[in-house]
Amino acid sequence: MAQVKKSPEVHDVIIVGSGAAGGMAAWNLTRKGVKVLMLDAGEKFNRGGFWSHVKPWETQKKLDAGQKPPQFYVDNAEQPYHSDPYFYLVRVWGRGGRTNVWGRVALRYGDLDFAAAEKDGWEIDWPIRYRDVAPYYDRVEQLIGVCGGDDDQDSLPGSKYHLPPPPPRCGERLLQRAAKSVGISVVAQRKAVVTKEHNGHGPCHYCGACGRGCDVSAFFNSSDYLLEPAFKTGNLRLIDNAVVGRVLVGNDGLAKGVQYFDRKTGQEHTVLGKRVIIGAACVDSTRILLNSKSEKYPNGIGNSSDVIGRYLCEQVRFHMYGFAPELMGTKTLNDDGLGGEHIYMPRFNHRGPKRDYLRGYGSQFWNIGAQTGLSSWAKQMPGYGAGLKQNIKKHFPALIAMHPYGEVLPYKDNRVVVDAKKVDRYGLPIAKIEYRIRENERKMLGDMYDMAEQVIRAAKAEILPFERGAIDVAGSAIHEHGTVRMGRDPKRSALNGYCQMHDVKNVFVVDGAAFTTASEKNPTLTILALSWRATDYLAEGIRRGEV
Amino acid sequence: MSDRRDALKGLASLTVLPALAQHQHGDEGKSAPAALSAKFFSAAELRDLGEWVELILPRTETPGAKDAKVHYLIDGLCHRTPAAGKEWRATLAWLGKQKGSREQVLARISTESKSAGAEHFKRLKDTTIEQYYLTREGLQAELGWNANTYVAEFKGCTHKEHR
Repeated sequence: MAQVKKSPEVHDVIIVGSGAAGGMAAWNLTRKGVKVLMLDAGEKFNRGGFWSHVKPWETQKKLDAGQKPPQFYVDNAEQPYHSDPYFYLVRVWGRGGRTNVWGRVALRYGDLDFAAAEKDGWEIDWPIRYRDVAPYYDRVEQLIGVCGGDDDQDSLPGSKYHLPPPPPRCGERLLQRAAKSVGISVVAQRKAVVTKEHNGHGPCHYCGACGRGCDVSAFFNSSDYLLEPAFKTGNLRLIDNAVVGRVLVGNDGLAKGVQYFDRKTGQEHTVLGKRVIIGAACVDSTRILLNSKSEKYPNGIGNSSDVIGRYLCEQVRFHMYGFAPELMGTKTLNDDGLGGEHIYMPRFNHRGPKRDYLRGYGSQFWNIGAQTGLSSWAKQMPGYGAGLKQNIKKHFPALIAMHPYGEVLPYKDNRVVVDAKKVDRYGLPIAKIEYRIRENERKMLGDMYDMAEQVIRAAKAEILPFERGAIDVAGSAIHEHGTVRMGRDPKRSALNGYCQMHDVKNVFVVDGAAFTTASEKNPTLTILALSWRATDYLAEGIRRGEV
Repeated sequence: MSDRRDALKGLASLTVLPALAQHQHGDEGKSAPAALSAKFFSAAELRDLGEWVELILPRTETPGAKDAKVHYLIDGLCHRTPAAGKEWRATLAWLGKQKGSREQVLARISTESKSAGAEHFKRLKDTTIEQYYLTREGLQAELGWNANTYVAEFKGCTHKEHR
């Protein structure tokens, strides 16, 4: 067995992961003078090599010529996980993590989210409220740039700091109008896209290819927006290709460092630190903590409550498409804009009659108008020949879509475990995901389907065939939460309201794993706010000599 | 508020990213004169395939599937994926054995369901659509798509009637 390489240096703070959670922690601590060692499981992606502007007809030619787009996503063959039933786990190992290719939707949670359990009694309550997080939302939005409207709702708190939102596309206007006609508000989407120059970041040029990474960094990504400024402080050191295995524990029961493996060579290393921050994204963070077994913590570090790994929650969603007659046969416009939708339907089901399920849903609207992925619906058109060609052209500008997202409740047995019988290339147990929706979500889905059908019909659209009750594959929202949840009671939660472990005071978990509930909203803005808040608390604790 | 000031101070030294005017955008304005050659099918099979795809999406006032070299694109697909090649060869062989002209064969099998003909028709139609609408001819010339490009201002919907 190769000898473990042990670094003797003791770092102020070790951060695991460089995405939104870890990036924010590094940015905030380094500017306060704290020396940080960051471990990232990949490398920096070459922005100049992104395929943002490779046209559809060029893609295959480039592949045939042996060129490759950036390999953002972790190959399951390299780092396997198991799931039963199937759970689609998307991982980006590399500087900035999933923020390189994220959906950029940046919604504030409100007390409808933070106080949900207090109201309905399902599982534990968040230990924080909107008033605790609001100042951090303000700061995050000013720092990274979030475009949006001033059309706030009780379910969607507003901001004084939004950059101008882009105007809606034709199909989005029709859906906005249709929703209004049935009493539902649809507002400007809030996205972490810089629509005018902001803090040194040039504006979006509306090429619509955000999913392939932005070649000019016009949307928030942790690498450019957080890590580069952190490097400039001189307080950040980053080790690439460092796949973390375990948090190491000292005789005093506190974390004393981290074990990692070089992704290229497999060499095992240990590094020492006075505090450890975990931000490797929910499932990987959970795997690391559960694998961090010791005499003191036989079922994983900080897990005396046995909640770590449990209560995995995200959102249940589906897609409904239609064609708006008003747009059929119209001139094709450039409908790219910001990649994805320019409008958003905030939760509204808490108003009006009481529902027979808990929590709520909102809706997103991507893929509207003249979009390149048309073959999926074009193949369903009848016939062939000139008539088919004409029919496809007629429908091309008229596509409208809704993508409702509903909250999945936290359930004790929806969980991530580590399987000692199956190990990865480093000899460490891999993650196994056990996750399914229940009766509450199925009832909510009925309501979600009714709403989507009602809105699309109100737009007088021809709805594409759908199967009522069908859902997108579990995990497809890419919003895993809850497996290291925060709460007031150490017997029922792993973290306090500052993302600090109840059991191990020098360990913090700052990614989606820390969330107590999933909400129906996209979590990244809240991850950034909570990570900033947690590291303010940590920095103050360091200053006082308490952590 | 000190956090906010510190944040802005920390970012003040960053320079604006490269000017958008100098931004590179693929092959805008260029033609695509790529020399094509069959990698999987024989010359006769390729000619035959070209006729079939053209019947699915023919030349009208805009280019058809053959103009867009869809048969070459399917050839490339078969070259990369042997299983697809086997299926396509079987489809071409089956179509070639049918009685009547190509037009008559298509007219017949396009109305069938749960038959061998329906299966071959679906392969022909679906793949022709998938490939044609990824080409410059299909997307730009036929549909008028001109996106994935730099625009200084996104105007969105400008129709008064949609407000």
